[in-house]
Amino acid sequence: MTGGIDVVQHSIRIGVLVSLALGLLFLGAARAAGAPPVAQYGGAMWVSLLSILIALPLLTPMVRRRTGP
Amino acid sequence: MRQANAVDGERKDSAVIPVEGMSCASCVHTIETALANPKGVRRVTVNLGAEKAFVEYDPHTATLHQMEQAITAVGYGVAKQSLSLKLTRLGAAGSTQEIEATVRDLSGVVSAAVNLPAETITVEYYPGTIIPADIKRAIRALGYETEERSEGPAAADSERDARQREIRRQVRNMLLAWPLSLLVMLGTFRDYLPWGLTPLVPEIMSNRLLLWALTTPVVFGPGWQFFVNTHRGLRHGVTDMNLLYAVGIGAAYFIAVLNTVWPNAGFGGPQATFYEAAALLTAFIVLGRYLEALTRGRTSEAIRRLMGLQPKTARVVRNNEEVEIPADEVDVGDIVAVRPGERIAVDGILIEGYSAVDESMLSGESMPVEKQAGDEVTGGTMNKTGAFKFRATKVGKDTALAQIIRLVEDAQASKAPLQQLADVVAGYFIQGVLGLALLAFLFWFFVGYQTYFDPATRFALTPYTLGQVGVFGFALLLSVTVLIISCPCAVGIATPSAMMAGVGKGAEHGILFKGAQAIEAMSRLQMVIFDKTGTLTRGGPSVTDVLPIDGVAEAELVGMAAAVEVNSEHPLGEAIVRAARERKLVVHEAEAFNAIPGHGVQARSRGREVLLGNRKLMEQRSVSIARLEAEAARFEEEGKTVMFVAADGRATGLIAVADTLKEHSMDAIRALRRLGLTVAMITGDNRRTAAAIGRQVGIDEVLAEVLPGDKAEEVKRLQAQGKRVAMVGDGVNDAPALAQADAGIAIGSGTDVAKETGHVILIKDDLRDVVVAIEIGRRTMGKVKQNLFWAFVYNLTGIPIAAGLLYPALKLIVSPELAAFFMATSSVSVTLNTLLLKRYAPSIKRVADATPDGPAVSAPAIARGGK
Repeated sequence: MTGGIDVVQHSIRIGVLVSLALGLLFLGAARAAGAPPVAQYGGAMWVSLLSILIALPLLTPMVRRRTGP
Repeated sequence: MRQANAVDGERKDSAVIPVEGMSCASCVHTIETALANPKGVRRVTVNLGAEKAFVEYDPHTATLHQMEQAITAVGYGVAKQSLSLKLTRLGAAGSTQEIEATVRDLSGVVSAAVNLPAETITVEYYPGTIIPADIKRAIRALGYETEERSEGPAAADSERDARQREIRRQVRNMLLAWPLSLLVMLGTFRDYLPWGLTPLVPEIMSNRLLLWALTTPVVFGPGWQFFVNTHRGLRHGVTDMNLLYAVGIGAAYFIAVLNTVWPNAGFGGPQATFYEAAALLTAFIVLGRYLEALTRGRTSEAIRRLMGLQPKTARVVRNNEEVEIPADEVDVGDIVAVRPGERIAVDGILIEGYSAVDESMLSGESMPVEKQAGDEVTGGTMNKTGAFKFRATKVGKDTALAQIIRLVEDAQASKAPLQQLADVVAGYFIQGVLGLALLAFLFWFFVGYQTYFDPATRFALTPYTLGQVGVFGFALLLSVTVLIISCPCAVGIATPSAMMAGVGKGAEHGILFKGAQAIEAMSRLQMVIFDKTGTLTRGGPSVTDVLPIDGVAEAELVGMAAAVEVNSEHPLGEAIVRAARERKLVVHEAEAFNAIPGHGVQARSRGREVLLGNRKLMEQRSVSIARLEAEAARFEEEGKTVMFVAADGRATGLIAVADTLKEHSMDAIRALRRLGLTVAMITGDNRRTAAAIGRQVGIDEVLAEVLPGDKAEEVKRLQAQGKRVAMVGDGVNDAPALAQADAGIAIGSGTDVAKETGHVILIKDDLRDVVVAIEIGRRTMGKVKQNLFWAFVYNLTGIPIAAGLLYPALKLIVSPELAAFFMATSSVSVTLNTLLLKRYAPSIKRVADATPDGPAVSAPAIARGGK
């Protein structure tokens, strides 16, 4: 189980990075589109949240496969 | 129940773990993923309908405790049970450690604690993995006696209790969520109330701070479970429906609070306080959970009913006295006494007394079965009329009832190909929905709002307009609604709930499906092949025709023949004696019995010289049978064996004997043809005889001159022609053909189901159950397809509408609370649709046993002398 938690923690770290990157990408796009500041930041948070929720269950098995049993 | 065996030198245990708190298909995925983590777990199958995890594991590397931790870590519970035993002959404190250690070492035991002053032991165990009898045996093996203090509930009761607890929990949640949510809704929609009701609602109800105060206990009370479960899942990298609920409720609440304390932040302002969305969303989801808990248990009712058949106690004769002991302590060889109205505790052989026993709970047969000394009795059946004693032959997991329950549990554990597909879809569903929610958000944020937004936008089915919501508020609203409206539960529950109901319905009728694949195979059949001898027919000769001449009465002719055969062990002789007894004739003893090999018999009966035999015997003894020749030839054409009877040198008549059809064979064949199936018969008989039988009983296709060992090849040949074939036969003799068929149906096994091969086992020797099994298969798969269709249609239409597909044309959007209502009703409607299977009654009606013998068919003639 310890190994399992390491895998998850590793996946969470990657997921956070991916979601932050996507959030920043959204922020840039929203700014370029002229959206109000609150919409820019709120949207970036929402995109980051959904991104990590999508990524995490996909990343965990991938990381597990790479790190082996 | 736990079973152990060795595979490739490694030990392999299997356990059935009852899981609490499962609500949707993604739960299956979550738990299967979690249980696959501990090392040593070889195979995991989780069944949502049964709320059980079936695990195969190596006990050297994986423990049940680890599995429990894995399950609880992702937000679910494992049902545990407590057993309290009174210990006698308890000595020094040292022995308590010995007992505790021994019991704790048993697989499935969580904890064991001996209380020395009270002389008791309390054991906590997983009910699906070990039974109290195993624990008691382990303690008895150490030399201590045990006595149950308080009867621990059976496994089935514990599951029911768990379900009841869940129902009570959700009722408590609803009692808090609904009144507060309705107040929030009244306050929010105060200005839009119809029929002039607005003045009746105080203006303060619209105050955003009050709405906040009313919504908070709903979100952090009944709604808190979704956040907790989401957190547990995410810690292990898995997501389920709780995540969608938590994100939906959380987003609505967060925006509402933000717009209350910071109205000018740009999240839609005062017009976009979604308190009613957060509150009603929670209330509807809790309502859905409650309805699911209420309805889901009903699909497995038949199986729990089977489990409930096992009586808790048995009266055993010890030292010439009847002593009441727990049923699971009865040992093989014990004499068990049963009174009228009592349930039989274990399997055995009746040794004293007689009675009628109601076996309907196991076989589906409504008529009580007469039992006398030497007859087998089955545990779980109900003694009706008389008192009797029997010797226990099978106890514990070896009883017929335990075998049947095990088979049904195994069937629950299996997944039909269609279900595997649905599970795959449901497994990726959450990710798909989250992806769609993200796409919907991006579209409405960057493109949709600027292009299509209209301030007059209304929520569907409400008069409430959206007002001046900003781009972020609008896009977020649609995104959240997508999360809420999606319902993987409906997709996930569609197949297992119907399979559970189908397996249960089969068990009710004495039909055991060995897995979901068996049900699916039964539903797709095109052809049913019956083995002839012993399946369509009784497998032994019976008297079919009696033709007396010269004024001799039929009874006299049969009596005369029976008298000379009364001590015969030849099948033909036995058939004649049986016919006499059925006619209630007195069969006199004969004298000077003389068997004439290959021809017949000769004996003296009541002063007359009687001859019984074939044509050759009559010719040898110069008995004229000319007047019987025409009828004899006709019977022989039909494949019957003709025996002439002569008394004192003169022919008195003939008796024709043949194998006979079982009483319901023709009904079953007719019903199968009505179902559109081709009915075939497979036999070793020659083609002419087989064709004649086929015509008589309405068989479409006759497969004649097939040696027993070639039956499987014949089935294979038909399958190669593209036919989906069922083979009906004896589960032991026809095993290869049953295994080869798409659906092998083993018939008439009685309750000794363990030895049977085949995909479907019929407990009763009644061919009409083949029809019932096929009907159950078809209806179950019909329900599966209906459920899947509606579940997919719901999601495929609901999600795009929630994402705003129709918004450009209609300027209507679905509110989150309406989405929650649709979501809750969709999974409940799938379960309710499944429950309609309970109304199934076999099309082929049961009629009382009117005729002991079915019509005769031309079995191969059995001649005296071993022809």
